[in-house]
Amino acid sequence: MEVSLPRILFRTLIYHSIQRCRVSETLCRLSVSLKTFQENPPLLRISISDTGVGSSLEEFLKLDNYTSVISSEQWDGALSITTTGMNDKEIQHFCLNLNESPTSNIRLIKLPSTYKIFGTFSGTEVCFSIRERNPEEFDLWAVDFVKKVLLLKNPNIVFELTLENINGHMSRRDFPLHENDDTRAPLLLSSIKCMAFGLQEYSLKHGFTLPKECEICSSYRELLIEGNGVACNSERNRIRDQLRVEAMILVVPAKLQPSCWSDTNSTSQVFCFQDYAPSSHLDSCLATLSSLDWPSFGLRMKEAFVENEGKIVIEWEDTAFAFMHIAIHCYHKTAIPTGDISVPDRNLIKKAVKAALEDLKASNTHLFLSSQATKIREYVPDLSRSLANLILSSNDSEFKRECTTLLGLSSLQSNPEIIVESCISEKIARIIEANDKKSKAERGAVVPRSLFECGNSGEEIIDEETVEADEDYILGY
Amino acid sequence: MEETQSDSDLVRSTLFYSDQRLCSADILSPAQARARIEVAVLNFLKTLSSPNPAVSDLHLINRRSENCGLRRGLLSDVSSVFLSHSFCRRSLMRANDAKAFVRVWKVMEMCFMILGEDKLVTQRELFYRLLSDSPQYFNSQEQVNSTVQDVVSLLRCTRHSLGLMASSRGAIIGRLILHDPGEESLDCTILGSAGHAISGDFNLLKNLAFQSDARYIIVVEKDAVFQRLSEDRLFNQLPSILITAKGYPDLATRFLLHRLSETFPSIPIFALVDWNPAGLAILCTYKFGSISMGLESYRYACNVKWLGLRADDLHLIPESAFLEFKTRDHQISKSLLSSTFLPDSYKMELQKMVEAGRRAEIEALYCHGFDFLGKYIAGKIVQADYI
Repeated sequence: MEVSLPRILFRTLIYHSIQRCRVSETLCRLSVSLKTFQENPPLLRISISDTGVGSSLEEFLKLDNYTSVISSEQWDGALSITTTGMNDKEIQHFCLNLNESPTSNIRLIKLPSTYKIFGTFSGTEVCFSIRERNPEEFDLWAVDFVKKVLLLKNPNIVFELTLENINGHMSRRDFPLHENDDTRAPLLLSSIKCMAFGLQEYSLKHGFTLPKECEICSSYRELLIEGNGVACNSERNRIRDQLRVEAMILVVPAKLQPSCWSDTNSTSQVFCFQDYAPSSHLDSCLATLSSLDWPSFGLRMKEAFVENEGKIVIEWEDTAFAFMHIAIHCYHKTAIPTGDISVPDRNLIKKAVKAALEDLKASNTHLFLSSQATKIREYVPDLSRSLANLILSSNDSEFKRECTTLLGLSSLQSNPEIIVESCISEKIARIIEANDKKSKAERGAVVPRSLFECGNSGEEIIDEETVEADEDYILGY
Repeated sequence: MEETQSDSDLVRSTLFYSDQRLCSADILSPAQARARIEVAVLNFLKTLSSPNPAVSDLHLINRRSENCGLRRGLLSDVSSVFLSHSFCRRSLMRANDAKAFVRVWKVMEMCFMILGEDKLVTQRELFYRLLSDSPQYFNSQEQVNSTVQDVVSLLRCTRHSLGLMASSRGAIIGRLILHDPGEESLDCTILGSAGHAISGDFNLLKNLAFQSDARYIIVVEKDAVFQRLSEDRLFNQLPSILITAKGYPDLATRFLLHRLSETFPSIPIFALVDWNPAGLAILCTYKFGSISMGLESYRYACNVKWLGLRADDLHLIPESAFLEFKTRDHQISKSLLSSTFLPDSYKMELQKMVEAGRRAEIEALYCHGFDFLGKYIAGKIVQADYI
């Protein structure tokens, strides 16, 4: 699906704004204003301003890299840019006409500057206008986009979003973000912990649609299960090439089933970020996720797709949870305000998500048993019952005593069948879980123990699947 | 001196060499069999509760042709097929194997109970018990039989020791008096043409005493031919005992035949089978034993000679009576030709069968008259026309 030009523009400008804030390394504010003028067709005036470092305009001059069509009936290709650096004495104003060729001298017009009278500050504001037949639709998408950024809970950037609807002399303002001090992450928290905090809040506020955490959902806060994983390519020499990928998975076990989450059953929402902005390469991320070995964590993908260019949705064959949210953040260790939005490193993403899944499995093995182990586990009750019957139906009391001692049971007074069976069942289940946590190599290294130690080292042991021996009906009686 | 291929074959087939490699199923009393199952349970629990807990695998002797050898008797001319020390593993930790693993324990559980009640139960009854107890694990008689053989391989005891018997299909008739201790003797010459049904109870068969003035024992593949020969009272014209398993020989019939051959070592045993690979396979089972029950089957191998139908008899059969080989015939012949135990003379006969791609039943001889069969048999015996 062709992404619309205004959306590409909006996305790219916000991305660069965030990078400028990152470089400044101080607390910054990023404000987005969307003003709709009810004309025919409606005019939407968008302004993105930040208090990050001043801009060299390089990132704006490269905007035509992101879109093949630079102007359309929606946008005339003009950007109004205001920027100043911390040590600049002036605030500079420009008008950039991207539909002019790079050699034209009216492509970038420098307008008269403003002198800074009071204070030292830096920042950039960029404005542009688009004609939108359906401005509400754009507004919704833009709000959703900005809210996604909040998921990262970057403690150094404060976001503001204003929607204004102007019809003649009437105007109406909305402030869709419910950001306040309570919702901000503590300053010294690592970025992955901020992401965990944000993902949790996203869930408890029903996708940031509620101003406060839902009461029902919050009561289950302690039962939320988190797993995180990190992958880096720090062996790269150039610092600007050093990438870090953080993955966070938030799970609610199915047995809780509060009503808020019942319609998200068996699906996961995946949020992808790049350099602290929502990623525009969701297809690449989707392909990477589809190639992961989910069955070894007991998950089977039914379908996966990109929804509304905003997030990835994965539908699972039946799962053990109410929902599972995943956040993946790929970023350069050093922010580059003029850098290109590169395609994310698929190997690193795969490693990070796998590490997060392994983290989940290590602490909650029974929820993330591989499909193989889940299949085996189904047979455990019947096996345990057979063994219990064998033990209890014997008339050799010495044998019975030895068995109960081995099982660590002191006596079998009431309900011996149930006690013995559940004891054996539990032991076997634990062995299955422990075995499942091991890697393939570790499992291969274990020498299997046989029921009767034959002591004959010349034995040849063949692993055979249960094959109904067809050839053996010769002399097969 | 360089060892030739035939020298090393000779060495490998001597009794001493093969006995080291031979795996056998013990004949146990019910108490002993129960004790062995209890040992299995204890070992399982010990490994389960050890400092490095694990679920023990089951090592079962491999019941495939790669693991079988031929054992030639030194003092007798009886050869038998045996199984050696190659094992196959049933593990709970492999998803595709886990169900089979549990099946073995389910059968052990059932046998433990049967032995405790001092009963003897047919495999058919066992199937129905297991079907009602654990329907998700057992869906066919073959699966139950195969799991029983797994238990035999695991515990290394005979099927009969587990309290199981196959329902015997065998019948016997002829110049033989059976003495069952505590019962009246049975004269097998005065029976109806269906003969006397052979019991599946090995204990009973073990205790039978015999009296006979027969000069030959004739093993007949099919019931219809057996009944024809019984009706004609062949065993009176030609002093003989007729025995049939009505198809693939069950262990009880083979056991009885073996007991007869031991009681009357001078009486030769002849086989009358159809001219097709299945008939030859049946003959080989009586002669050498079977692979799938290789742990106990070797005990009951007998020196059975192939009387007919053979290649030289084909001129007696009208063209119209010949049938085309089916896929199954090809499969059986392929397996037999690649086996280690088939004697050369049998191989040549089989190759003639395969080359022609045709088969024929014994009943085809009736075209010469209903009493032709008896004459044919007598003629072949008198001319010593058997291999």
